[in-house]
Amino acid sequence: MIPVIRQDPRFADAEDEDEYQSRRSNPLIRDNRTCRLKEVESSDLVKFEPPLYIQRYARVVEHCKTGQYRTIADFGTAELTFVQYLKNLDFVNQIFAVDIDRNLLNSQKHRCRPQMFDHLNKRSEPLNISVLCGSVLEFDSRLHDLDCICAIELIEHLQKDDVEKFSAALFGRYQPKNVIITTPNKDFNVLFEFEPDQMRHWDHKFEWTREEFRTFCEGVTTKYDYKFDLFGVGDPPSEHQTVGPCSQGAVFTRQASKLGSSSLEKFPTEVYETLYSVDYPVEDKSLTPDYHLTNEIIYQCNQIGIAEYQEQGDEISVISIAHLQTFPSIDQYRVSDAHIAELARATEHLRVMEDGLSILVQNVPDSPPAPYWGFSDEENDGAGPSYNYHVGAEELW
Amino acid sequence: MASRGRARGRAGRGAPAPGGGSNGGAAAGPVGGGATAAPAPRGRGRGRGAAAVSDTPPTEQLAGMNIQAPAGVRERGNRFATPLFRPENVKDTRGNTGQKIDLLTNYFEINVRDNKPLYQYHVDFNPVVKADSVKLRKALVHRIECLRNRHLFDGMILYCPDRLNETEFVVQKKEGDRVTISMKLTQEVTTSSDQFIQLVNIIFNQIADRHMGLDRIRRDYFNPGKAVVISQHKVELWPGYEFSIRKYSHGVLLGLDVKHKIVRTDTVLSAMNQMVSSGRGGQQENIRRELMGAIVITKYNNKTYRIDDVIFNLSPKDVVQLRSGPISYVDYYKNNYNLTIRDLNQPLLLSIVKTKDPGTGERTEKQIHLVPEVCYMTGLTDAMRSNFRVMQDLAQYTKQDPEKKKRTLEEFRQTVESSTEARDLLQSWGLEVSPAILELDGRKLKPEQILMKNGQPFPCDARKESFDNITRKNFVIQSVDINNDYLIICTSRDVTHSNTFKDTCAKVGPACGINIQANGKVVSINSDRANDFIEAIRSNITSNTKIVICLVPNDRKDRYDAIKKHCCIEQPIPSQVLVTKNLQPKKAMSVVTKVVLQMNAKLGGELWSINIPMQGVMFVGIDTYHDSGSNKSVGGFVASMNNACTRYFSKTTWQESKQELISQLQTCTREALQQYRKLNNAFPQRVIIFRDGVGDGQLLAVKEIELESIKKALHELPQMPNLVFTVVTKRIQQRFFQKQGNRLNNPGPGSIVDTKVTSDALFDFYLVPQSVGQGTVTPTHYNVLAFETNLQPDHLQQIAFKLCHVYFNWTGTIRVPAVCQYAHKLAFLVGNHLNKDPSPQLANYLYYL
Repeated sequence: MIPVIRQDPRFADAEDEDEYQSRRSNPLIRDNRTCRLKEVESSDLVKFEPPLYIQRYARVVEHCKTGQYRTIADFGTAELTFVQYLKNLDFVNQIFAVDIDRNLLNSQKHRCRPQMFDHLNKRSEPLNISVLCGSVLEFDSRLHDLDCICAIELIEHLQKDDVEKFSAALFGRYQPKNVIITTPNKDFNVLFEFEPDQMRHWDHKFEWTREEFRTFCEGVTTKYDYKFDLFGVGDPPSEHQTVGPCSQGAVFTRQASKLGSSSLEKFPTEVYETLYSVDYPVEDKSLTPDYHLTNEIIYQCNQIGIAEYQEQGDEISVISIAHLQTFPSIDQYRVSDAHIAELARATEHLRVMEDGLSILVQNVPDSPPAPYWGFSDEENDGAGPSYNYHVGAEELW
Repeated sequence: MASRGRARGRAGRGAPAPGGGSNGGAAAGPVGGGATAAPAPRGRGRGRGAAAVSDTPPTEQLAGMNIQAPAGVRERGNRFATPLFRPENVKDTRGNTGQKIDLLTNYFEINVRDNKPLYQYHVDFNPVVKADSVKLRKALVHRIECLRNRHLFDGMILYCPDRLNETEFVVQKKEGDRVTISMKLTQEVTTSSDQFIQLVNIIFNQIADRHMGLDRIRRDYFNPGKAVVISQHKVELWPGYEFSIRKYSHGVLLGLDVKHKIVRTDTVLSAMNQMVSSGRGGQQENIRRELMGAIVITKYNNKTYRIDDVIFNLSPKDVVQLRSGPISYVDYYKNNYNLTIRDLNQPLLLSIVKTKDPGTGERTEKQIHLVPEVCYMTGLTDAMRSNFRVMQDLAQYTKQDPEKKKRTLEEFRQTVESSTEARDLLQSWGLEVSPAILELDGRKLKPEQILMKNGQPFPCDARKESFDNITRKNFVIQSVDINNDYLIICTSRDVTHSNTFKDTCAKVGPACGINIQANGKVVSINSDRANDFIEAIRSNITSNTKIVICLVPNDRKDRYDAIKKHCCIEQPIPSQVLVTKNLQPKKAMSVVTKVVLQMNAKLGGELWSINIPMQGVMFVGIDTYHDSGSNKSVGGFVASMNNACTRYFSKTTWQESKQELISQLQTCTREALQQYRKLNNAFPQRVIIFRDGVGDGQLLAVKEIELESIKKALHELPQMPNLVFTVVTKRIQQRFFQKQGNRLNNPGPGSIVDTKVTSDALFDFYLVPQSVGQGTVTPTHYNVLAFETNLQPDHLQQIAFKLCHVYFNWTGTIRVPAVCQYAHKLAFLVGNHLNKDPSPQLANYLYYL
């Protein structure tokens, strides 16, 4: 198992890889028992590499991939860490990140905004990420009938009485096609050498044994029209096989493919407050291959022309289409020479020779406006090209 | 004072004020900024050629790029503190000659409600929360209800807009523990203090960061959502803003400029493929040369790296050893980032990342391998810059005329106004942005007259960018006759070109009053290698040869360097290098005319002049060049030797890398003064110095070191001349638009601004010397550090404008006084091409033109 991304949420605020690594390897932080905020998921006896939480996210992402879920909600999203994994799935269209802690969400919500590379490397499918604040026990119609709702390490933070309400909301009202729930496996705790009644995290209201979890799952399926499959994350050391995996989970699948139309859940009730919502940049699908190819032809001809102008001073370059076809970036379109000629003819700057075999490109402006052409104060020694179009105050990298 | 310490290109690195932190360093940016020389600002002054080399490790640049991190209080240091630089003896810094003009400027007034101070508190936690857990400290303070959204807290010091009624708060940690937070009022921050300005900047950065839909890249904010895609060049333009808030004589002003980020959409792999297939040589060496030093951004984690090498014997199929075991690059990207590498035969890129262990301070180097397919190129290459089509298409968007610019500026104001969150934030701090951009009065100086032979005056046409028409048809003041005493070296292929050149010289020379004939010696060589050129020069120069002309087939730097080294150091003689493509029939006339004038200037001829009504004055220009490769910087020192400003003495100095400051100024000044006396039989009565290339952060050092060492040299004279020392800055944020009827235009040459956007702590003014055909004109900022003279501010303003006319390499006005541009040219030649001091025999010639 390989870490999916090297983003340990505990050090997610690390400025860069180095800080991240050094903090991650810092025994003071790493030894979870010295830091009450962190969840205990390793000990001297058991260590997971990659860390368990990464394995857990990876497993859930794997399920989402297999199911090709397009609309996903992450309940108990906290620092939006899991969203970082989800947003890289190219088939996902909608992600709802839900949590009850408004302060936390407000401070973290910008983490899901598109990064520089999201703008450069546009998605083929649209994606909206919405950060919602509200209780998972309530119902918000926007989240009805999703492909999947994930509740990763959430349920054990609920009061025991609320677990039932949670099931009712989740399976009874939200009725997603799939639900993925993970929770600690109490059986495993013996390997952490806990005090009696000690739990892995100060805020855990309970932790379930494998048996208890199965009972919960069966309870769900008797009451609601779902079936479930159990899975585990974090195998125990071979000499302690009996305790089971460190973290346990279940994938619930709705049996009815369509929901009854009588469901009052369709009535819009938007109880969750939207703290942030962002659409990711999407490829412009209206652009045809010909459009891209035309630009590629202009680009390549322009490059060749300028190179020839600089080497030999050719003001006009003749480029054979056969030569262009040897370029991988043009070859990939698999079009005929005649088609290329046709596209080139339609451009403003390129001309095609009469025989249709070559393209003409002009390497200097038609009528150079006086001060912009010829020698300038900077280049009088001919030590550089003598164009003086300048871009002004743009930031150069 | 508004250039935000970024100054220019490499110079910028030294510029940020103390405590500039990583942000400051990174801002310098890898590609030599835009030190530009006037009328044709090429945007690449000193950094050109040398591929993006930056000392800042990519990680630091990252820190600067972090889109989400709001500016910390301490990080910004005291960038906004303005030391008092105005010379004590100067009371009134304003001039009054010229005709009044109505201007707008790219500033908004920031109104502070009731001039209310802010309150600064020291924060204590009980039980103690360690000072380095800034995050926890912030989170806890954030929980205090009455401070919500109305405080700034950096982990230690808290600012809020009102005096707190209570100073003890109890909050609950996540785990349930209770923490008492106590605030101790340390001071009231009055609206006139530097600290106040700093806080207002932070507040506006927060607004831009969170409430305007802008992405922060380094210090500026861009809107990728409004990107202009220019597919045929594989670039995108992201519109954005650069802004800063400072205190000016008119009060607190928000300075705003429109910026465009050029983002490239081609991957390193496609760039490599392009290099291979365009036939420009697919050799590995070429690829290596083109890519080394380039900054790339990765597709998957938004990080930038500098390429240090290309590893051709590795491919993505190869296996890398990770902590978790061996894995191939292909699988690594597949597993970690869900990225499929398509080209399995591409080479890999190497980036060496230097890191410092935060604990031990130990420095380590880490080698990082990158797959070209998943890295994007950044920045314009030299090839793109020299491609007129690219630049033309970019200029269409980046060059905004005053009307368009004003609208863009107003959009910024409207975006702030239309965001409830931004409005609330400003409201709670008692701040308000005035609805309209700032108006101010400027003055326009009279157009100058160009003096040609026998002092015949010709008025400059202010509407034109050059006075080409005057110099082309009239005789130069004093010509150095070349006749047939020149030597042309060219390859055997270019013999026809050499004939064209000689014939055209003989035609255009006499029209300018320069005697040059068509029968100079031509030596043709069989190769275009640098060595052969040198050998030909060495063996063909006679005692009569006045100038060597090398016609070269292209602009290869190594050959140019070699020729210049030879002609400036080994065998000192004026030299002229010319690329033959410029001798094509269409251009030959205009090019050769300029070359003839240029050669004459190099030989000591006097081309034209302007009327300077003062006698006995020596103008001095100082500039520095930072070489990317070597670890030395070059200072250029150029001093005028006559009243007409047509003869110059020059000297270069060397200092440790990246230092703007010239340490040997005392010697330079002394030598220049001696030379002046030799030529004029008297020492100058006035010395007027223009110093270019100084960032805000270095002003103090310039004043204390450079100015003092110059003064020392002046004190050695029997009578100390009057001294004026002015720092000239080209890269500034200020723009002015002239109201003419109901249109906005660029203010014409000779426009002066010395009110409102000047500083009370300085003696400064803005001058627009040039006229531009496209976009908005950038004024030049003059900051006077010493004014020990009976001159008036008016005089200095006029002198600055006059001196912009006499740069012999451009028949028009340039952006800085000619002495500065000469100094720049000199430093550039020595730093970029010679790498050694030129021969002192040439010191009285403009050989560096």
